[in-house]
Amino acid sequence: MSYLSTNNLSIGYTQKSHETVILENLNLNLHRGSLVALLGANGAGKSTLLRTITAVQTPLHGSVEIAGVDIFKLTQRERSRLIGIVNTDRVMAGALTVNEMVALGRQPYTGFLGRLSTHDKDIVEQALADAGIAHKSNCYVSQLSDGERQKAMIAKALAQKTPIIILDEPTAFLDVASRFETMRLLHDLAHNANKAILLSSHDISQSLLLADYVWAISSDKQLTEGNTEDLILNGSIDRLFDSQALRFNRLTSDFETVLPHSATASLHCNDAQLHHCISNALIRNGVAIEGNASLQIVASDAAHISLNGKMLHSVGELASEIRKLK
Amino acid sequence: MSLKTHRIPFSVTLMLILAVVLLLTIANLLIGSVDIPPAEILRIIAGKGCENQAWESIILQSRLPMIATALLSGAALSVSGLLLQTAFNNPLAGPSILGISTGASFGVAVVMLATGGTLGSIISQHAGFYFATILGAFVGAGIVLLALLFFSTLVHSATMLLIIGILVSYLASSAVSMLNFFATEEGVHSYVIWGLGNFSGVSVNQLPFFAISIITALAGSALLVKPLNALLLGTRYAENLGVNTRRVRNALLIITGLLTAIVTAFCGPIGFIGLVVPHIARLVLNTSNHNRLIPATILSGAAVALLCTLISVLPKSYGVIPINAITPIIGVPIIIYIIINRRKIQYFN
Repeated sequence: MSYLSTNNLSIGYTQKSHETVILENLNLNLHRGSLVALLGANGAGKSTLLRTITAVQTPLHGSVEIAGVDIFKLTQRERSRLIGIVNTDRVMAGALTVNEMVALGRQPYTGFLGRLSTHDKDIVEQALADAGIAHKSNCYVSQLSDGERQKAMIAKALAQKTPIIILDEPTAFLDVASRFETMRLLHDLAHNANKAILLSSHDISQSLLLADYVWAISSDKQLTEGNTEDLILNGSIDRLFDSQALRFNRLTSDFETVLPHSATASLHCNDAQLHHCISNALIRNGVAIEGNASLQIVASDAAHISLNGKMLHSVGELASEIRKLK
Repeated sequence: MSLKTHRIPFSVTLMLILAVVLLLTIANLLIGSVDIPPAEILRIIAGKGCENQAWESIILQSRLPMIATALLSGAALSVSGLLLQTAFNNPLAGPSILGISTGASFGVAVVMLATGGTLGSIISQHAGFYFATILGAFVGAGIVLLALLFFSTLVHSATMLLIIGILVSYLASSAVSMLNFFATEEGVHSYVIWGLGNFSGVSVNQLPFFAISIITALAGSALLVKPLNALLLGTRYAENLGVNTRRVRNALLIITGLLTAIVTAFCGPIGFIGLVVPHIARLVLNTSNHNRLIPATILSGAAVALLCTLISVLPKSYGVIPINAITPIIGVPIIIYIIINRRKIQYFN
């Protein structure tokens, strides 16, 4: 049973009674207990869609419903108990402690002066622990790394106790380790805390690894929704970018660049890993791999690679030889 | 973890600032153009009277009202600055920068200059003149506020609204200059004197009105603590936490407008206090949490205004230094310190 759904939703902008439609006829579903990744190129409409779903922007047509209720008929305070957001806005909270900042997530429930009850404080503690940032509870926000800051913002959303959490590029400024940690955290929260989590991301391989569902906006402005693997297999992911220089590799679940080639080579190698590395070196140097070619490469192991009969002792030597031939 | 133990408890810090305020109050009672023995001052304040009628009148009619005015004005301007800095997400926002005090000045200028020097000097003996000045300041600040509120419906960015405030401020100054051009010499003179700023413009009779209106507006600011804290995360996060940012911004502009108009009408356009004191409070407490920041800003504002008053009377019988000649001496080094050290200051990062 979907928790948040859109009904014939069209999103975009109205300027002087002229409508600019970005995406239309969207019938999307967000389920509790699952992580959904919204993928698409820059300008595809990811942020507009997220703004419309969080009621920051009004739809051109159609509606967004949470548990059957139109979100635009809810008050701001009611919405604040249903959807928690995390975005990449610069915050001025440097001189708040992590605990104080996460406690702001309790505002939808506290009274006029914002005083926290013991119950509120317990929820804040739990949110800090669940987001894996409890050890920094008494530090200032300014003392956190980018990854820790993102965890603290997620803890804020958890303290908000909303069934839905929507994140706009939560891993944008993070290093690889923090990116993995953040994605893993969101995956675990969806599965273990029964949240409906929607995130937009440019990190395609990570998203395809951990998201249960994908909303893929293709380069021709079609949004396809589905189980992650189904979308990989039916080619929806291939159409994310309108570029000849890119190709989606379904084995690695990531996009790779397509380089022009001026020569071809045949490659015989039984070791899959070595095969991959030699291909990579060849492609980078403008050599495509084909069955019948003038260049013949046979590799038995990394130290024994023959190029048209000449024995080379590393992939590096092979690469230098190829460059000399050019 | 260990950080918490190094922090001085909030109540202790607040008591320390309060002690500074008390010390400065005492110093302001003791020091002035006329030397009065401390024992006599004590007798006068205790209500035991004094043989020297002049001394009694200096303490009760001049020094005490001036101290009260400085206390309240300092608190009012500082809280205005704090609210504006948070709402506009800009550490350099303040009542003078947003054009609110310039608007108030414009209103006062209309009253002082348009009524002409002659009329002005006749009325200045009269209570009605003060009333007209206050009304002028209110109307002037109100016009700027209404303009800001109007523009806030057109521009959504707080920074752009801040720039509009600065531009409106230029307009008001140009209107003041034009009034000056057409005004009589006497009118210009009294306007210039008013513009220098002083805390001795509130008489004993006016003090209750002055105090009640400022305390009411300050109490109103305390009700904004919750949304102000949410606004530290920016408008989008604040709205997601249930804050109606437009309503909060309007409430905040009205409160700061009131505080600034009252102070400006009575004391002239006092610069720097509203800009600098919120930074002093943040640096001393090392927090952005308005729960603690508002009380600390009120007390620090009172302390800074009292310090300025004390410096202004130091020449004793030679006269009184204008307040606006002193506030930059205190304010500018602090602002420069903050700019140079901003990477080390928590609330900028």
